[in-house]
Amino acid sequence: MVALILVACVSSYGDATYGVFGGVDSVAASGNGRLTIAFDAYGRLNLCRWPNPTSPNQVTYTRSAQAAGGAKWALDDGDGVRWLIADAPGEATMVDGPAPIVQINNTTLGVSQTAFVVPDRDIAVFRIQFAEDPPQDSVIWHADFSPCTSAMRGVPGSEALFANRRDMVAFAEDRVYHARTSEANSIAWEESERWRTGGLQPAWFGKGSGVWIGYEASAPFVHAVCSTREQDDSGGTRVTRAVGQCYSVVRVPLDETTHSATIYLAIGGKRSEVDGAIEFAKQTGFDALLLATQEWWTTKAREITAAPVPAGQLSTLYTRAARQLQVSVSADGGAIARAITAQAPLGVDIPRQGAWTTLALDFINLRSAAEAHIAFYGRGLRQGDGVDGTLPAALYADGVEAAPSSVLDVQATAWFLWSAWQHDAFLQDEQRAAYRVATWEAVHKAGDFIASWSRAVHNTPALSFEPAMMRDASTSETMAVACAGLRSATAFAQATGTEKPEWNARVSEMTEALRIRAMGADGKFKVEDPIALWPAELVAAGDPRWDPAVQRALAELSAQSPEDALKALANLAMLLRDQREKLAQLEPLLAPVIQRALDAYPCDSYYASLALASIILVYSHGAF
Amino acid sequence: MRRKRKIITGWRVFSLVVAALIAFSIYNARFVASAPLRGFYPDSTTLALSSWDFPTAWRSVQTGPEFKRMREDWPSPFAPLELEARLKTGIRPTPSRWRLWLGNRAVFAIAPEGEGVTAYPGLLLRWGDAIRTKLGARPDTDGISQYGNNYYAWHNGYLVASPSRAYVLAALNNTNALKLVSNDSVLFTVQWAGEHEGHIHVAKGAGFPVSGEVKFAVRDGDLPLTLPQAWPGKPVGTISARDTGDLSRIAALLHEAAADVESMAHGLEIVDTLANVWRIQSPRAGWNAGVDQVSIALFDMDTRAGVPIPSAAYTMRYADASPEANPFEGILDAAYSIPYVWDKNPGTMFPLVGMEFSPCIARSGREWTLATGEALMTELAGGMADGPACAPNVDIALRVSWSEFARVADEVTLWLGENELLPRRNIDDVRGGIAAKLKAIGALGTLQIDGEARGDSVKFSGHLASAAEDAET
Repeated sequence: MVALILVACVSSYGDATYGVFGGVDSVAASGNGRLTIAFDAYGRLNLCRWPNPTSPNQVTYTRSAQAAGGAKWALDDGDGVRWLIADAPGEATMVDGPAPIVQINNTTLGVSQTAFVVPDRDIAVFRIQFAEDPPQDSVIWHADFSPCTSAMRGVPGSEALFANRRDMVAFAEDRVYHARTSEANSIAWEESERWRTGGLQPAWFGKGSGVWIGYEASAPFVHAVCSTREQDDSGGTRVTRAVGQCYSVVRVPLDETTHSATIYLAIGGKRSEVDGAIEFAKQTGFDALLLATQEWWTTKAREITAAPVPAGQLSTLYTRAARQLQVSVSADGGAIARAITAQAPLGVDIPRQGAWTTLALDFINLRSAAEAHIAFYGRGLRQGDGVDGTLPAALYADGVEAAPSSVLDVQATAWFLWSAWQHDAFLQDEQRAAYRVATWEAVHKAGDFIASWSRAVHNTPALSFEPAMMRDASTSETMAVACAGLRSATAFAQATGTEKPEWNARVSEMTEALRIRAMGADGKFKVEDPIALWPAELVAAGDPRWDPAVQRALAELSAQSPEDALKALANLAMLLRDQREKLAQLEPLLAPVIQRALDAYPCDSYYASLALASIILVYSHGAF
Repeated sequence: MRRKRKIITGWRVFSLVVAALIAFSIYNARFVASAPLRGFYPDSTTLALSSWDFPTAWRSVQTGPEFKRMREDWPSPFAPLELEARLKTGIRPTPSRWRLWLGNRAVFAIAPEGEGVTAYPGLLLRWGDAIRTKLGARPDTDGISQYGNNYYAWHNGYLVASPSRAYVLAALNNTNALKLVSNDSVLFTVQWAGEHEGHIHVAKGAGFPVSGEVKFAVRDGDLPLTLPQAWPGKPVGTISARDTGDLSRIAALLHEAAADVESMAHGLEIVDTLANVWRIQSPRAGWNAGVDQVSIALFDMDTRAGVPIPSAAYTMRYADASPEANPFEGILDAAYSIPYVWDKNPGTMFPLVGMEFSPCIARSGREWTLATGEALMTELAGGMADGPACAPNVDIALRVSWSEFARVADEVTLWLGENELLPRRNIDDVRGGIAAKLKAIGALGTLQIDGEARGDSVKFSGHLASAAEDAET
């Protein structure tokens, strides 16, 4: 079990595999910080997280077969079902602009899909439209929703691994519902089975809470049925009530004028919430909802720092990255999902990468979101013997640990400290004092931990979990980040009028130990990638000893994988941020590197953050 | 005038009825005891439980000291089965009622077609069925009748019954089914088919004495095994043998069984991936030269990290002092190793994920030991006892402490319940029922089974629930 979780968690760090379940699976996403949806490359809904971007996926999806799971449109002309998803990947994209509107065009089949999440309600809208006269007057929507009421501590993506954690009932009336109670004990299941065969409605339908997913179409269903996978395996027929691993299938009439059909979906903790939201959606209508969504995001975009480049490829990438970052932010609590992806546990907040996300939010002027993110990490610091002041390697938005607690990721804590001090510099004077007061306790605890952890760097290996190796190890990179974190904590302490001489001493020790590891007797770097050690400030940023490594890194960028190239670019931008002339070398590289990375990882907030930070640092011309 | 004498008086009728009942009981008892134990079940049967006197076996188990120890926390272990039988037949089963209606002989079997029972019923049920048939409930063309949701047929005087008609049909047509090995000196026998076919007899006596045989080859030897009782502390369970290959093959069987469970199959694939990433290698050739005996022990399953982390160890004992050369060398990546010493016993730690899951290797006395974590190795290094020894003919030994098993199972079950990993159950169900049952199991004492190599089989004996707990583990 530990192995399973570790590989799942940690492979996600080493993005060459992007999770043990195979590469990127979501390519286009929309959300409002509570409800998040995403589509795979074939145009199938493969992700539906609620009530925040780190919550369990409420739709069952397997990437092993093109047509298995998810939610998708189809035609049934009597000769069999024909899925209206692409025969080949590549047609699910985002509409240009600040609003996260998903567009899926299948020119072969002559259909297009539009999907988006309404900003201020937990409603998702799905429309299919035929370019010409459709072959039939109705379409089918096949939906494999699987409500899951809680994330599992230490096991991200557990709802995909363990069928018992998801699903319960589905039933079709004027609208279709999938639901699961938060108290799914044997009594609730027995009541549900009795209801399925004609008995009374289970008590949990009307009391308590859980996850309710409901959907209705723009016109009454021609036909709506439910079934379970168990029933299918035993040759059963579809009915209007199902208990088990459920899915639903509806036939929706096409509008004669627009050749389209629309599904309005809502999610809530109770049936009444879902009913109210769907009624609102139906009354408002597709066009009004789409317009309202676009306007909301356009207004929000005005809060963001404009792209510091002329209109063009880079400006478009900037807008795209900013949009992806915002879709990943939880509406409550400050957490930010590393990526909007169905499988592999990247749908959680990963602190060691979250520092870049916080920095990017500050760069684009979303200061409140940046501060909320830091506060989220501050609340996430552990308490207790041996772990006091440590930050979990991964977190759900509700603060529960999303990786086994035996994983000690020192970089998570160190980056938090660095991030806390970086944010301080973005604040206005009148905000700064209050921020320092609010954050000092967390910085103090985390700083004490790093100081303690680093106490014997010379003689005893100071171990930290290293995702690239999937094990505890002692690496120069972690030591460099720990050094940067503790140096930042020391500066923060001094800024609050607190002297921490023991922290200073640990910073000096770590710097010295790192210098011994990374530099030769001639004072030059002897490690393969000194740029990765930039946080430690072993030598001044403008020191010519960096030059060979910088030139080598620039030369290798185009040959690297998209993710490695973007990380290298961001590291270079940070290293050279005070040096205008050297930063200029990065300008022609930004667009191709960022384009490759965002195309390869279209729903990833970490890469979006690296892209934003790189653009702003390079075009700030040394202002940061 | 003389008074007429009544021939038929109340007392005479009563006496006649009682006499008839006694005569019937005696005759019925002789009748049901007259037939040998025979079973009719499908050729594909994988598991069978058979008993020459099932009601006696049932009563003996219910009233024995083992169940008495469990009763405080689990008053009616058979309650679900009894309820199911009552719902299906209208009769609450008890040993006496079973004997009256279904006789002494019983064979329960599980096959792909379903599960069912063969019995040699008493006269009452035979007469009852004859009356049913006369009243129109005739068997079909295959000779199968139906009673409620159950199907049954008569075959050579035996009754074959099952909720599955396919089972009954296959049972009537079996030509090559599992041969029963039960005898009338044991309470009941469980036997299974397959690559590792075997059987286990449960005899009368305290602690559920058992004996049996299983097709599984282990290394033979003469020197007594001393590792089964050598572990310090109180392991949940240990398996000891003469050869690492024996334990490897048991591990392979468990791996195969786990792969049949969907969620475990995912986990096993990922464990394989992780083993590659951690560069875990197979041992080098000759790594276990000179090893006298081996043992693996499970001590705990810690769920505090959010996922269960096992605390387990594997040890190899040599006839004389353990060699200086590390037999585990190369299995774990030396690039990340840290030299360590546990109470003057030298070794190495391989950090993986925290101190709880960082394998350690140490040499002490006659053993080389591999443990999953540093804290466990602190207990083990230098802490293994020299014995006591098993009998010389024992080549493989299994020990389980039911109290430790219950403790660990309780923790894991709570974790399963909290995380909704049990089918259609959650923590309410665990706290409400499962926890009490585990506590009851914890009162059973210890399981001790010793096996002797017999060619390609192991002949074994022992106790399933010996009350003498502290002495053994």
